Amino acid sequence: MVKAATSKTVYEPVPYWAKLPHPMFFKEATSVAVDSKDNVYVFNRGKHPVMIFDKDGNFLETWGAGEFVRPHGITIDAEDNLYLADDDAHMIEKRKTDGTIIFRLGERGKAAAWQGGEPFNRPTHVAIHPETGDLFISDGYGNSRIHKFDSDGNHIKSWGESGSLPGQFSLPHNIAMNGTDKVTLADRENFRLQTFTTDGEFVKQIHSHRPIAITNGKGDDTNLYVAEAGPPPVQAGVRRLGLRVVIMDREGNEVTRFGNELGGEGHDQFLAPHGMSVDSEGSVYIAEVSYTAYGSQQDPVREVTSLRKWKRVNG
Amino acid sequence: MTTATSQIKFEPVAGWAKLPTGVTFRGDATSVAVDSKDNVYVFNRGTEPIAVFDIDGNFVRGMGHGEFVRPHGIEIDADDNLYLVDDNGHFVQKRTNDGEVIFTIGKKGVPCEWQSGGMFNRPTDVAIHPGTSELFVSDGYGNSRIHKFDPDGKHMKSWGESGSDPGQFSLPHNVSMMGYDKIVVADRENFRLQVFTTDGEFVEQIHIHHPMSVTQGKGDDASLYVGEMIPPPVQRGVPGLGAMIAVLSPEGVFEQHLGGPLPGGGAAQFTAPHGVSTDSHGSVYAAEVAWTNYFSNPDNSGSAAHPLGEVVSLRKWKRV
Repeated sequence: MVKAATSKTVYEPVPYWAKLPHPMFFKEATSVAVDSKDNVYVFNRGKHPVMIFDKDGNFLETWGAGEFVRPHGITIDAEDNLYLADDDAHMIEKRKTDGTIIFRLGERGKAAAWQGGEPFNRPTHVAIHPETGDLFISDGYGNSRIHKFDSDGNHIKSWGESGSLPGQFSLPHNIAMNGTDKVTLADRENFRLQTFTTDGEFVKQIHSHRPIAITNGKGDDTNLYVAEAGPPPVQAGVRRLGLRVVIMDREGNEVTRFGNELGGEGHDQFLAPHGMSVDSEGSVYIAEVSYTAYGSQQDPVREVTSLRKWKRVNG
Repeated sequence: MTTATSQIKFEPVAGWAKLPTGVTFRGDATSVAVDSKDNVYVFNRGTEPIAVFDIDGNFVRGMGHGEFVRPHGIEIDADDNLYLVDDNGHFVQKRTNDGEVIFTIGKKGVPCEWQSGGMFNRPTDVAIHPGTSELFVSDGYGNSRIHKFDPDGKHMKSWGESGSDPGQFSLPHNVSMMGYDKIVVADRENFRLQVFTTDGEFVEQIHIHHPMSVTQGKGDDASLYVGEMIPPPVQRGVPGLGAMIAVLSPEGVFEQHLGGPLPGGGAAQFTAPHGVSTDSHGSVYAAEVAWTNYFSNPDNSGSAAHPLGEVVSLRKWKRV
């Protein structure tokens, strides 16, 4: 296990990391999780929703074909159980690494009332408490809530409503543990992170450029990793607006960052970061919804890179 | 007039501006300023680019016919001079309150290079120092800069670049004095206000929803009034997100919202509060780019059904 990154830490992109057996494709990778053996689980919108790779990008196996409506977020716990958030199915599933279902929260395909606060209306992501196994679910595209469940999937509490004041959300899109006593939320369309205690008490907000993905380091790496989405159309093409990864300490102080000043298809660029995870070596995996954001608008439409690895090479 | 705390009440004044037949704000009142006599100057994209009203909303006079490309921002100084910002004209103009031009900064119709930091590329607003009469110009749609000028319009300094770090901007859309020693910038697409000293030193950032406009109260009212824009398309229709005016303490602490919780044409709602000002009684005026940003969208009621109709783009909220 590596120590937390510092301002001297160097990351380098690993071009063509994931090797997909022909003719498998991601269409787009939405999210990624890394287990205790540094195997990498990619939740994607192609015909093979969960694809598993070793840390060198060699394909290991796949499962889940036909079982998801719209993959959105994936998380893994300390015992290597997976938690899959399917936004358009309005459900969260806990599964074993071989794909066996342990439990499901929400009724597949059945949404709670839009902005009604009940679980779920297009939930986006899950964070798992490393000791208690409690779930914290960001919800989502049609709600403005965080829901807390115990490790058996019993509902404990929910908090949040729509708005821009502290404790209010505008598209809670990702959530991560922040130590063992707090969670930090990517409050995407409010351009900020919000940190809460695990009981839902507001702690602080941190400005961030349209934060879309957040994850925490593994083991001794106590940092938070935040991926920023790009600017709205009115600012398209302007430099230094999102499309990068910012690494910060638990208080939100920036440690370092990587990416390019502009988005694009280059090896050091991003098009649409959407989900992120870190392995035991401190290397970072970023899943991008690059088909939605870019490939679908090309003529002809094409799949573009949607999973990137940035290797921690120094520091 | 005192600071507007959360306890102070404001009430919307429906139909405040009385427009003579044939005078229209359409396509939109963009900004508003109030002089020392509480006359209200509305910089708009209609028939009378500078339309002047008394405090009761009676039309006094119109100025500026054919002289602007695209009105965007207006400010008034302690001596009742007007400062007009024309974004597509790429210029800032100082005029007497009779409309006589005192000076023009920038060359009409000629932008500097996009995002180069020069002057100007679609500037948006100006703030005037009450003591020195220095100008602070936010620039803008094609730049990421604050420019400072002396009272004669001579350039003193500029700061900022594109980005989301402190001191960087993503569409600086409005600027206001904050006390005598600071300015505050509506960093619109960064969803924050940024506070600087008048020399350009970063002081702090304040989270706020999609701020379009910012102004400071008059006299003893050092409150900040911030017009919030609607959310991006993915969040349209969600309550509590923009199309409101946030009233902040002089230090930038949230006190209350006017309007909301949804955008709309109702008496107590906003659609796109693009410019704000206050008068000596502490009442608030909001100019809204209602047609441009809201009613031209066929999803929003009252739009395509009335292609010739006026939509509310100037509102007064009286402090009661």
